[in-house]
Amino acid sequence: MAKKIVGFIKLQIPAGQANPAPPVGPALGQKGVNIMEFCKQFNARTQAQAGLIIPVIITVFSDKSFTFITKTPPAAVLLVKAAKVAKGSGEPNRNKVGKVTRAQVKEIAQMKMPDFNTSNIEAAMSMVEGTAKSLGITVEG
Amino acid sequence: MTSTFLDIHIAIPPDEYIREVLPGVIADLGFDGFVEDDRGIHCYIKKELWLETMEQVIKELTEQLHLPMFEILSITEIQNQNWNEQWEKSIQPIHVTDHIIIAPSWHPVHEPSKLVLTIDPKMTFGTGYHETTRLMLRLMEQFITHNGKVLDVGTGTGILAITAIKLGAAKAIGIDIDEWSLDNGIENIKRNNVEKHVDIRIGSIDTVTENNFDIILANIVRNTILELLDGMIAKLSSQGILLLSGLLATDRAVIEKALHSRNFKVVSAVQENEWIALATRRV
Repeated sequence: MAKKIVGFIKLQIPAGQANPAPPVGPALGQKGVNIMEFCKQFNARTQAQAGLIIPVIITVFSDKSFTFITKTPPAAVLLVKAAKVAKGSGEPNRNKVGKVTRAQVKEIAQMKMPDFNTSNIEAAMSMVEGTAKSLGITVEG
Repeated sequence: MTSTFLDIHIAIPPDEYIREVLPGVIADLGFDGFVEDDRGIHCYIKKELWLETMEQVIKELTEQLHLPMFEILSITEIQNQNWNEQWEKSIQPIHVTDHIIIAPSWHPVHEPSKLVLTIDPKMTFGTGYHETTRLMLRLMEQFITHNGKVLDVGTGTGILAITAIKLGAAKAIGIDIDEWSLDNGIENIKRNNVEKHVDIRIGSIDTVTENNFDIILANIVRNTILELLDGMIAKLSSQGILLLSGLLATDRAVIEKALHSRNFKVVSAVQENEWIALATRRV
């Protein structure tokens, strides 16, 4: 049908845990989007990624229908979680902020492969390692 | 339900990477979620979880990870409320014609002499809140024949196929390439008690094996209609009517030219704002 886009809503919310409280309720309600339907669909689609914050872009159409896409979290976020970076304990630029294992790098690389546009795991791991370096996270093993 | 949230609006440069990374790394401090806008990000947290020291903690964390420094633009208190109820209140019944009413399930309309369609706005197009759907319903009132066979191309919510049955058609097939249409279309045909007469399928017009439709409905967009025109005409009975919507008034000349070259003529046209819908048949 004649889908005329009236707006986008960019959210980041915990996988599998969308509910009508802020930010989802007010952000979607203002744009006329069916809040409960979004929560149901988002939770169903992201339940396997529990514990992660998922970037989601909702497209709102002129007849109050909507659609959305979810993305995998940025490699940097996955690395910070894997390294259990201490919150605010830092001495920036002097100490490494955390450590991850090569197995963790491989796991993150596998998750991010579709976004990296490569089917080569070594290439994907090298990209993740590059991100780790820029964050001050050491790769061990 | 009575809890209070804080909306902490922070300025972040319009860089997709930074805007995705920062929420991801501070979420574990207790934030419920984030909404991006032109200036930065709104971070939502329950009031009792926001401590004075937290701004410093976040600043240290961003510095540690070499992310750019941010500035807090505002901190606003939000009283939690039943946001879904607020939204439902905003969706009111629509009187499309003197006879046809579209209403969401939470605003039931009891008018036995009217044709009432129950449709809730979800993830498929065709809720009645757009001109193109309403225009098609107006044309259908004129052209749906008793016991006719109807094909709805790009059925979305199934609203047009459902209406066809309620206006007297014997059978309607709704097709769509959007997978959400299957779930939502089936939900709607059941809710409107026409599941015995409407068949919702995923697929393009090439997948329809039936022929000789009395009415074919296409509320799509100009280019897709032009692309599907031959396929639809091939499925239409010799006296059949093709109803086209999803067209802007400025599309009319292009569509009419395509119809004329296939020996079709426009027999009725309706307009609402910049949108038009056309009823066409063989010359």
